Amino acid sequence: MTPSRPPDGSAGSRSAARETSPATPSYAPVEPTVSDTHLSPADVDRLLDGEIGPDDAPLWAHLEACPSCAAELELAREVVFALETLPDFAPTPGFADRVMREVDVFEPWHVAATETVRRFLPASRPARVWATLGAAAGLAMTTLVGRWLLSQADIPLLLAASGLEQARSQTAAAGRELTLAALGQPGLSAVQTASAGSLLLMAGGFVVIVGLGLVGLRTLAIDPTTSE
Amino acid sequence: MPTSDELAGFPDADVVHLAQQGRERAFRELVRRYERPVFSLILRMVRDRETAEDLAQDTFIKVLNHLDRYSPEFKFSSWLFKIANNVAIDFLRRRRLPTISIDGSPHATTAADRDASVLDLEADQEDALEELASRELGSAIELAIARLRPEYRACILLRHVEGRSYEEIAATLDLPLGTVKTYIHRARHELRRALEPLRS
Repeated sequence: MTPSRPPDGSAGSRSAARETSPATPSYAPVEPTVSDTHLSPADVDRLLDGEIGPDDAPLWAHLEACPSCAAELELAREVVFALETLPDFAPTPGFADRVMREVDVFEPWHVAATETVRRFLPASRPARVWATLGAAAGLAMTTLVGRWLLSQADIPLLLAASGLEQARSQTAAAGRELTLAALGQPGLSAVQTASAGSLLLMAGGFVVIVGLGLVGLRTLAIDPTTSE
Repeated sequence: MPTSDELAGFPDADVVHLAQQGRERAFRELVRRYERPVFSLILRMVRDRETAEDLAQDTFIKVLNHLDRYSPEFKFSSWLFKIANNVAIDFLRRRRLPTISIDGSPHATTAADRDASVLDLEADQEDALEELASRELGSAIELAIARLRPEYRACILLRHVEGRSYEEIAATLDLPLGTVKTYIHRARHELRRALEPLRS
């Protein structure tokens, strides 16, 4: 039997043929039969994708019997082969460098820290063991020396406290001298007897007066009517 | 840090992990692995070498600068091709925007003026394709691919040039699986029809 192609030129629909054919009774022996319809484009796709299994024996039989469908499948395979063997094209040399110039390579801090530590570690295992032992011994030695220094620290601490007290009393005396020179004895007495709030108020008033004085002087200096 | 030669044997996921830790060598390895496939895909989409190189560069810059957004449950290459395809499709869409009336200048006052100002798009495109086929891509299949719709082209290239499964293509292009199958089916059909005359 010669398979017939539909008048529209397309291959006949296998699925349509299946739908219109009477259902095979379940007790009937299943034998491969040669399908009388051409491969549909969907059939060709299924063959190309390897989705057709042993249940499609009639289709295989039809392919063997129909040169037209065999040629159609062969062409489809040639197209797929041509696609799969297409060459890759390479961008111009230096492409990676141009990309990398625009990429922000950001190293997280923990990675940087780990990397730094790793850089100081020896590469071989025995060397790492020796380095660990050495580090442990060094730590122990540092601890012992530190404890001894702390036990001997009474005299330096006393000297330091005395020095601090001396520096404090000298700063206070200098402050008194400065206040005496600027405000006189009544001013010094007022400052010594004033509360913290009053002192703050006085300091604020002093700053405002000085500020206003400076602004006034500046205005006089740049005023065109007084510059000549 | 592994050497460049050692990195070449690592799977993508490991190289991406190293790149996320700020290892420049890992970034370079990702570019080395995918510069050709990505450039080829984009070149076949936009059909211009200089533009393709710019777009491929944009693709890698986008991907490598946003590696922190990469989700490891997807294949790195799928993510990369998704961005490459989006970049190419965006370019093709943008290129269509500044259109010139193909019916001739609206300022033409006579029929002769209007005819003279008609833009022969079809002829221009055919010439460009012919030139591309002979000069750049050099084969009938390349010409046939160039004539496919961009959506079909992306699907068929991912399927048969990059060897992706239908599911991967659907995920890469954000398309339903059925649509991908339809596009590939139509693309194959069009390619067969285009190459059939050459066979005889």
